[in-house]
Amino acid sequence: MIEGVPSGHRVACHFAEDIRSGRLQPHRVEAEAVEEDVLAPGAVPELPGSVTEILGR
Amino acid sequence: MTETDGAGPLLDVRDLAVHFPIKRGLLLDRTVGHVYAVDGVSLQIARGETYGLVGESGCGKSTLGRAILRLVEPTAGQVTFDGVDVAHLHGERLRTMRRRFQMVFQDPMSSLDPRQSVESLLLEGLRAHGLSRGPAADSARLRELVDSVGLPAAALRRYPHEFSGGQRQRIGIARALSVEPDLVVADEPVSALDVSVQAQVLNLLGRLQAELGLTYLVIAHDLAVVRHVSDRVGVMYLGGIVEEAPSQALYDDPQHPYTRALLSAVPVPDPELEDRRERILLTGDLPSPAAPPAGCRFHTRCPWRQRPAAPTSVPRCG
Repeated sequence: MIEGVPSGHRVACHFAEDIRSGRLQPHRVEAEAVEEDVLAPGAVPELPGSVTEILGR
Repeated sequence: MTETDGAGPLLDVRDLAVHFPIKRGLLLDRTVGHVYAVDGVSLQIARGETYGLVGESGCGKSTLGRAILRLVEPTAGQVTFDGVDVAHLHGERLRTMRRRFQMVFQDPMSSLDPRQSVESLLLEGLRAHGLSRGPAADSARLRELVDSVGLPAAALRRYPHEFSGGQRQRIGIARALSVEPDLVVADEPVSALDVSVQAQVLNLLGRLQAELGLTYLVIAHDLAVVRHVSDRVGVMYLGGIVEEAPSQALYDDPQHPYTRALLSAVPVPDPELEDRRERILLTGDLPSPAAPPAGCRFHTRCPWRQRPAAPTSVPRCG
């Protein structure tokens, strides 16, 4: 719940109250690059579930 | 399978997730990761309500609509339709329930079989769900259906390619309505149409809702379309809903940085207001849903981003 905002208004932001009150102001940001590799470092790929799954492809 | 007395929401989605596996390799291909297309979405839609779902391409809004209808299998979560958990229905029970929720697709040319006449397309749904009542009654029902979407009875004998884009979308709507659904998921219902035709189709959807008591989930990337038709609006970003509010409240007083940025990009017709209004320019592209940022999914582009460290938890609508 954000003060001054009706209950049916839901927001998924850690800083929503501070932004609404003006305590936080927008600033110029450079977009952060996100690591595109889908496999986490050190993670082992899952094996196929079954022979049927292998032959089905 | 019990149904409610109509008191609760028609659709109740809880923590719905759709993760598509990413495979690599030839014979022994392996799952090397997942695309987190929908990741923990919760929403409710009341009977007779229109819920607009808006977001940029690739944010997962179409996948969410399809998962609600079980056109793609949810990875996790609950989809309760009129008191029944459809996420775990199978076989005949799922088929029976499917009559009650239908979809209107973006491109009617590719969603209508070009080898079937309109009559055949509409009859197919009636027969599949046991609603056929014999040739005379079916014929009357089909004429009523095409009339309800503003097409003449002669349209029944024609094929999809003989119609304009707007007329084809009307046929798509008639097909969805042929099985008397309660919920219609309209996935970009007017984005493939000329602007002059968009209003006609949106007005048609509104009239049919008033006449038939339909509930709509309208998915669109066009903020104006969603504003025009919706009672409530949910804004999606990278697999999650970041803001949800009654339509007027969301457009008048957006709270989430992403919603603020989206709305600030909409031009204002008044040149003086246009010069004075605040514009929030987002940098960078939508991150890959296969490797979403940790914590807040929007923090990599957020103009209100905080340093040194943002919270690592994923914020949820609350």
